Amino acid sequence: MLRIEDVRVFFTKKRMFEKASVVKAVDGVSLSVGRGEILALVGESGSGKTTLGRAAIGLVRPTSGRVILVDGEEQNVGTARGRRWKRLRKKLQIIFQDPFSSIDPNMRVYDALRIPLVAQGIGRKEEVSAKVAEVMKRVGLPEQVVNSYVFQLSGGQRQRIGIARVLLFDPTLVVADEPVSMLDASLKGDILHIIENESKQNKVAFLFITHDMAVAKVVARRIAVMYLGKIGEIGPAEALVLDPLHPYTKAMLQASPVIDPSMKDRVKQVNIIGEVALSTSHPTGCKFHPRCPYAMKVCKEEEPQLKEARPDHFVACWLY
Amino acid sequence: MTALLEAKGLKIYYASPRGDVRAAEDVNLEVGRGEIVGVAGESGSGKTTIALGIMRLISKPGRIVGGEVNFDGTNILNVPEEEFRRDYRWSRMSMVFQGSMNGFTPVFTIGAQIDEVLKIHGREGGELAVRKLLRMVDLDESIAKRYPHELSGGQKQRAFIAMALALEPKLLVADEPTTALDVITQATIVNLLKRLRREMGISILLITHDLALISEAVDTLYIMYAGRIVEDGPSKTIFGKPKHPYTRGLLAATPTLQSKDITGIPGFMPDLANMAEMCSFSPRCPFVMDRCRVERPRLERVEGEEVACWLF
Amino acid sequence: METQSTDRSYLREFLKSKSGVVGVVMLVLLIATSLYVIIAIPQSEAYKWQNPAAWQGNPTSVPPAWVNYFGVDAPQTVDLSLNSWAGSSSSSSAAYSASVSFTWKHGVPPSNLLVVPNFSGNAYEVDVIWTKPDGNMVQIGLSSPVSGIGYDLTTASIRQGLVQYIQSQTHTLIESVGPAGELAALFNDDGPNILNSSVQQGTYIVTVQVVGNQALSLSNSKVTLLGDSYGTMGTDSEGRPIDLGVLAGLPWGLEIGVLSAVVGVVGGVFWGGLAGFFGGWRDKLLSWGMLVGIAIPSLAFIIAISYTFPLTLLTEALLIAVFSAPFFGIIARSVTLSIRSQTYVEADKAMGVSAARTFFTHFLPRLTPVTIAFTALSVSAGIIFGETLAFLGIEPANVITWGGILNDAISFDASVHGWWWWVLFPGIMIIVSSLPFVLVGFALDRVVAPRVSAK
Repeated sequence: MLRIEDVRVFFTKKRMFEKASVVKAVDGVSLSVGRGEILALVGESGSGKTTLGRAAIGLVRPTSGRVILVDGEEQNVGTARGRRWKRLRKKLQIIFQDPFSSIDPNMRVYDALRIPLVAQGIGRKEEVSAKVAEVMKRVGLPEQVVNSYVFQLSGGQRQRIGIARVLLFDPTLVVADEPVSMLDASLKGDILHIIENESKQNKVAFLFITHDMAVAKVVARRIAVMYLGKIGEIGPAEALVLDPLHPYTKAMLQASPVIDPSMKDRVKQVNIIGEVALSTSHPTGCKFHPRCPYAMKVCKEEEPQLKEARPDHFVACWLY
Repeated sequence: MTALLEAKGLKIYYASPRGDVRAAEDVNLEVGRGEIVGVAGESGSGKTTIALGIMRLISKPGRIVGGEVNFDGTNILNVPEEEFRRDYRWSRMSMVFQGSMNGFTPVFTIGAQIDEVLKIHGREGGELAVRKLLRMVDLDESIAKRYPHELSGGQKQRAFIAMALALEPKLLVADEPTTALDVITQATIVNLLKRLRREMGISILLITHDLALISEAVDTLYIMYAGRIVEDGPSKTIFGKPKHPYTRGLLAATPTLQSKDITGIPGFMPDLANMAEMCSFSPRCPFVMDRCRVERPRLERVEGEEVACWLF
Repeated sequence: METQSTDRSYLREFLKSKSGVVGVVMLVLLIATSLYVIIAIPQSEAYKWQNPAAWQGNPTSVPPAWVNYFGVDAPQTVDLSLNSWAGSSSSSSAAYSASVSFTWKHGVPPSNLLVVPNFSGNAYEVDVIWTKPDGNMVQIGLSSPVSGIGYDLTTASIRQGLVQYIQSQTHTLIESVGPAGELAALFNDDGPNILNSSVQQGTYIVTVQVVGNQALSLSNSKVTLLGDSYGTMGTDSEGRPIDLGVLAGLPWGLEIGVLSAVVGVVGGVFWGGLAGFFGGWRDKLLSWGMLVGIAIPSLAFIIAISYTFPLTLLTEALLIAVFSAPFFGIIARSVTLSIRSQTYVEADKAMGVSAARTFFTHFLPRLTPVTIAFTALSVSAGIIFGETLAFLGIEPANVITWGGILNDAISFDASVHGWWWWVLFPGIMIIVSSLPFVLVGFALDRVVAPRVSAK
């Protein structure tokens, strides 16, 4: 499993003759993902979910804190370099959001799947063929598709190739970065099922990044809600949706559309103040307090820590 | 009372090396006064094409092949281009797109750009007029002096809506107005559209792929597939008892907080350049019958709505 | 679902462009001609070019022969071989004589008279007795003649003889006359107005007498009436045929163009490609280099360098390439940066693929089409640049170039004299040789460009 311990990821932008501006993309996050678990990371752009996902698999180095992969032995993912970093690629992988640009359209599917194998030293034709056949089956694509060029495939098919690509080495944990956001509704289900399958049958853990609460609830066992680089709330998917604790979670759930024609004459109530925060803003105390309708004095001064307010359901908020 | 907007038999094709791509075929659509009408569909369904066709924004290689679009009784497809630009586009009917927030140039303030729209169309511009428009979309007056890059996505989208309302149009076409925005901002924009309808009596044609979003906002709904309307009617009726297998499939595929699971729809959309005489959805339909494969069903009135399906 | 095409359809699209096909056809013709030139015209011709003596049999500064079809009376060169020598010799002296006649039908005289005696042994006098159609005879002589040397109207003794004849005709003491006067003596109607009268048309007889102090063997002597026109493109002031110069200049023109283009474009694309690919300080350094390369005035720099080192084809091509590369570097860099923003580059990194492999798998194939289009266009620029340098006198030694020919033309005031053929043909060749590359380049660019932006 993967343990993220108080990880911070700061980006400094320094231009000549200007003061450096710091983006605290991830500002103190701790969580862990169990074997074969699907944990959803929900938040808006600027929440840090994308950066946290990349830090979790070592594509971005944490400014402070540790990322530990426990897989028989314990390995520090954040400090891996060179050969060890490359070996970790077999265990930690990522599926990207845009199936049209995450796989080079100008190659044959077979060659696109061959790339990671060759990069890890597997070049023999029989081995490559076998592995390719195996992953194609796992994502439900007929094997002759490997002879087509990627540009001949639809978005849904390409995304399946994207998943097939990460499964080549039976990874321990896969970060799925908004894997269905760019797909039509009729295609989302199949991709989510493939992910669920891999999690259940092959014990592949997924860190499922999304901005869509509904998708998170369908696919994940646990949901973590992020805001401005911190986790506001984390708990079991059903519980979090039915009984949200953090005001931000509440607002997001209020805003999420459901099938309800009776709403057409009514205004939707969303309890939140103001506009989306800039990623360079650093509010004091609780990061959410400028927008929180329940903000109290303490919220401006001190930052709340994650507390278990319900069984296995944690929230960082002074209301609890 | 006649409908504000009425599309009859609208046909829009795109020329391509493989032949004409039939992006929209035989589309009949009506928007009443003060009504919010939704058009739902996935990519390739033709919904954006219809929106562009109504605004006469179809450009090569696309062209409107047939049909009429009646706005307030006049067929605007026959109106000469110059007259349309002067008297209809933006003044009687305007449009908000998905990327509209990027429709502002970065070198002028928001206020200046809205003011320009007013002046170009011969209306009185000035600070007061601009402020009034910004208030209409719940934006603070100070926004007028800001530059686009200083605003959030949601603020920009609202500012653009203000610009779209500048000439007090009767119809606002909104094509995926919230897709690139976060869910909270999305709700704000939808609330705004509802409020505009209530307070200004403006009609709205809302086009989106998000069935849940559309269910919460529209009075009447049109479902499009492969360039045609497959089901349409009052939103309550359709969501109460969806009839067309595609509608049902789409509902099952749309994730909402109520969903336990979502299923996909197997198969592909047909090639719009090679449309055969059959029901376009039949290759993917779980209820397909022999007749579906050889004869194309027409829209029939069934239980208060219209469905194009041989099951009815 | 096909949104892009494979290489074969690149070809198909290219063939759709008429100008591209025309360009290719022209290219094939040029290359074929160039190969022919390389094979058929040996290097020795290039040396011959620099040697004035080789061209003495040609008229100087005369237009192409085909001007005769346009109503210009420009007689061609007439060679009169002296074959049948009659004579006698004894132990202390020998005298031979040969005659040849010709008919002159033109209204203008030839441009020059050339006498080339060819003998073995010693001769101390050669006399030419020139009988005009009206019967009058003109006598000119050469003392201490040397075998194989050409004596023409500029030779002092010949001039002297002709001046005397004119004096006898006009009864004046004209001291000197120019070539026109000499030709008048030989060809015009006699009388006091000989210098202005018209050319006699009819049969002329030329008798050559050679006197020596021993037996001589005479062969291959000739008298040549150098024409007022020559060949397909005329001659320059040394009598060198322009058509030979134009042909000989073709391989060099193509070579300098192609070499400088290939090195410049490939070098530039790698320069910019690697800059964009690496980013960071490497990018800053390479980009700075590109800006410097663009800022330096290439023409002045190359001229300066040519004064310190002698140029060869290779070094000149390299210099041109060095200055054209930065332009391609900048374009290649921005193409590379846009590729770099694509997610599949990040995906490669996430899979542990090495940077080099990523570059070759994703970047290079996308840079290749632009590179080919640039190369074609750049060849024409290279040709023009190379010929410009040659025009300024900067070219490798022993090479015939169109620019060099134009340089000579300017030096000899060709335009002032109205010797249009000397300027027109080399000039046109520069355009003709670069045009097909431009046509092909633009056709290629049109095929490639929409795809580059779509990716």
